Amino acid sequence: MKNVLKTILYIIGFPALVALVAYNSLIIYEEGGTYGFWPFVGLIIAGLCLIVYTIVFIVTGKNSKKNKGNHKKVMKSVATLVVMAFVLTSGIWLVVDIALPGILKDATDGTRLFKHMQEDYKAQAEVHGQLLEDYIRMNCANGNLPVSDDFTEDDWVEAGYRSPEVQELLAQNFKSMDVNGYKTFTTNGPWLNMANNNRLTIPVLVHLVLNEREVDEEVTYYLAATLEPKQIVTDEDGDDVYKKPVANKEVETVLHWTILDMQGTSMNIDLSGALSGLGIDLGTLLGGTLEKPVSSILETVNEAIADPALAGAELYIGIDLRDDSFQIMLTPAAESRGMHGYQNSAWLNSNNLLFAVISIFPARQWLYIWGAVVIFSSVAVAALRVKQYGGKKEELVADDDDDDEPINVKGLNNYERTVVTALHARNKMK
Amino acid sequence: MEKVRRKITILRVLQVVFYALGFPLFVHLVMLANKPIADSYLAGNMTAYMAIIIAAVLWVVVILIQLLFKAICRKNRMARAVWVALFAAVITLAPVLYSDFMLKGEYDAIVDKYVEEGLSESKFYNYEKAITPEVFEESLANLNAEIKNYVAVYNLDMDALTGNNFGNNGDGSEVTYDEEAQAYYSPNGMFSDGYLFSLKQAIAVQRAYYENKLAYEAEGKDIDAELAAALLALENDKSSDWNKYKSGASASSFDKEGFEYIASEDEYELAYGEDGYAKKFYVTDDRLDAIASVIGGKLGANPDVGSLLSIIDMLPIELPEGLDINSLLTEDLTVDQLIDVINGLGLGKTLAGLMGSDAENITKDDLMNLLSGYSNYQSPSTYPIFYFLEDEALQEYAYANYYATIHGGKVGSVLVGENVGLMNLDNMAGTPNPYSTQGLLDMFDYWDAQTEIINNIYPMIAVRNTALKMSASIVFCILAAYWFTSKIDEQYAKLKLAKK
Repeated sequence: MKNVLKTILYIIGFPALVALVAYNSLIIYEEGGTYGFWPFVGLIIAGLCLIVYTIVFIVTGKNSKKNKGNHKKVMKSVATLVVMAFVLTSGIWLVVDIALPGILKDATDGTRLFKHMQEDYKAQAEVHGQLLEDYIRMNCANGNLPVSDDFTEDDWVEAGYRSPEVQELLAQNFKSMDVNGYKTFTTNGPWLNMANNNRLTIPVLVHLVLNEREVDEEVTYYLAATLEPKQIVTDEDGDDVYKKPVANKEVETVLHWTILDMQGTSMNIDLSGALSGLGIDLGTLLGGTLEKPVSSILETVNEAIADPALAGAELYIGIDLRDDSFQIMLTPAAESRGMHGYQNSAWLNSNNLLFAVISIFPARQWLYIWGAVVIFSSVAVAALRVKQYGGKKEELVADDDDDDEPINVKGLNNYERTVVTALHARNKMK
Repeated sequence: MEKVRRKITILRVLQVVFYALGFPLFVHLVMLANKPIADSYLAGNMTAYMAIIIAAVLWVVVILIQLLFKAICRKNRMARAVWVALFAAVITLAPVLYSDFMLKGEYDAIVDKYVEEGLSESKFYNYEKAITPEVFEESLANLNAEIKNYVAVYNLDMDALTGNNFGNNGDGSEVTYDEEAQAYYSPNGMFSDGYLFSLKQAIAVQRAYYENKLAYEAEGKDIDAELAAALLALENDKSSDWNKYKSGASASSFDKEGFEYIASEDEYELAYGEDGYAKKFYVTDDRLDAIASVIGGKLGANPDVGSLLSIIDMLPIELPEGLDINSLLTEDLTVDQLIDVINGLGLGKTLAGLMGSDAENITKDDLMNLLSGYSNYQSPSTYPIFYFLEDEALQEYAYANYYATIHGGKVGSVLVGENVGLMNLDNMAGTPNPYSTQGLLDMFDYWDAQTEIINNIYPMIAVRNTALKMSASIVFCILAAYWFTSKIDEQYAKLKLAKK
């Protein structure tokens, strides 16, 4: 009966804990499923703790049985079980929690903080899963990942990071964005850091746009086709703002990046209000007779921007007439080239590590929460073992015997024995 | 046996409790009293802990005295207790006596010094009031609020009271940090490209700017006009140090005493000469013309441009006779021609108005002046022209002016003018400057006075205020702890040892 009870207590302790970790990590496995073992790191750590705990559980059990009747030894062995239960649950994490925030901050350049992960690891898993999916879809659109009837866009998404093509493409193209983009800004002065710290003043912006930056001609970007945004986007276009891709003869190109590519999102300047006073319906004009010449001129302007005398890199100026608005669109080339902004691209580039880090959080959370149950069940098992094998506790044996010779007694602890011996010695001297 | 043991346990708990209620509690309360000092932005590194250190030292002295008397009064525990209690009383009263008799003079001297320098006496409390815990805490909190507001107005970095640097210099030259000055410097002695003002340097820049300006005004002179004239003289005088520097003359030929080049005689030429590396970092005449040429060439080659130009007919703009935009659109398009077009379209007056001028037309100089506000680059590896100014006051003002407007404009902390702080695309105007010149200078003097008071007087006051309340209870608790110790011994004496 006691053995059955002990087995049940064992199961609601650590094995249940590991099951909880696995259950709460399902979304991570789903989102990061193509990243091999990385999303399972948290579970693996919990599993290792389970193995160690199980070994301690068995060994201390055998030990108690072997020392049946020896109260002191049985106590020692059950105490080991309880202490290990604490060390393997909360204990480890109290230590890890000191180091982890710093590691995370370094690994993500301060863009992902411990407190964010701690609060909402499930949302983080979704964000990082989505990064990969969006990346694959962007690269299917510009032909970097060729789509056919046999292997569709969804097949690419399904294959995910397992696909060697996706891995190679990401590694090569991120390097271009990093070396010929981000690093050219950071090695060229403090301007990008200032922009990132809410100090994007006009002089800083001018520096970011006009400073001449040197690129590494050895670092190439794989670009199967050029995908340009339409110069004028109307309601008819809906969400489809890109023209048809034009296949590149040279797929390996040395690319230059603008500051807007680092940001990754387009910038819209709404002029609807400012132009309404002119008394001319620009929307109708541009959507009709003037569409062709204006598109053509914008195309020329975009070419001029890409000239080394200006920004030296593609940046598309367009006009957005959707929903009766009149907005100037500044669209970076990043998306059409198949890249997120720099920060997202950098995360995607180390997504496997980030999934590993994210997977630690459910393990951490449940080791803390369920740790109490594990310790409780260990104490309960310990109590049962003491009852089963512990024997009787020894009685204290100090008495009022007149013989005041200092001798060893079991009832006094070392400190008391020293004090009493000294006092008796002093009284004798008197 | 068990009864005796229980008694010992109780006595031991009481002994520890009473000991803890003495000096350990005292140090803890000093820590609490010290918090406003530690939180003060004006407290030096050591000042933040000074009160706690003093309290801990007092405790240690008492421990040493306890050990000493343990050796002296070996047998008489009560005599030992009385002596230790007596010394503890003297030691805890020392900060009170020191504060009330010695520090008062020091405090009054600081106040007198600043009142003599022109601060109103009403800004300071008299000593007796200043050291009461309520006033002491309140004035430190008010001071912090005042500093916080100042930091917010000028968009300084609150987390970086020690100054911050957002990265390397544009030309890759070395940046050094001066801890005393709380500033990052370039090889030319100026702030590094990405240096964000520390509180200390923001104050120093504003002082240098306003004090020199006021001094010139007092003599009926306009410092900006004087500076412009002095810079023009340096530029025009062929034998000025500035021109010698630009042409790389030998260091010994300079009028400036002890002049030395930063790296080499051709450092200016390397930065700003024909193919100067510094030109990568700002908009030059040539760069503007190159931009105009690309735009002219590409648009000129596009046949659709002509048809679009017809839209101008539909707009309420009258083109002057003889102006043919179409024929200008070639690779030969220059900025001068573009300016002619702007003036021809009658937009010159509007643009000049935006730049604060009432001229009818804009000129290329206007345009370059406008750009220099946005695209200005001082190489960290060459001296600026004002380095060669002979008049020290004028030179100090020139640097301060540059830091407060150009450098400040760049890093988002404009320090002088009607509008200050961060000016960016979302907020081109910045923050209206809430301080008057004299108000700002007085505020700095007041902060200086408070800095001296906080660092020299307040830590001891924190100890004093706590000691005043606790002195008697410390003595009592020490005596009580000794008494419980003797009671514990009595209990042990009742115990006898049993045989094995």
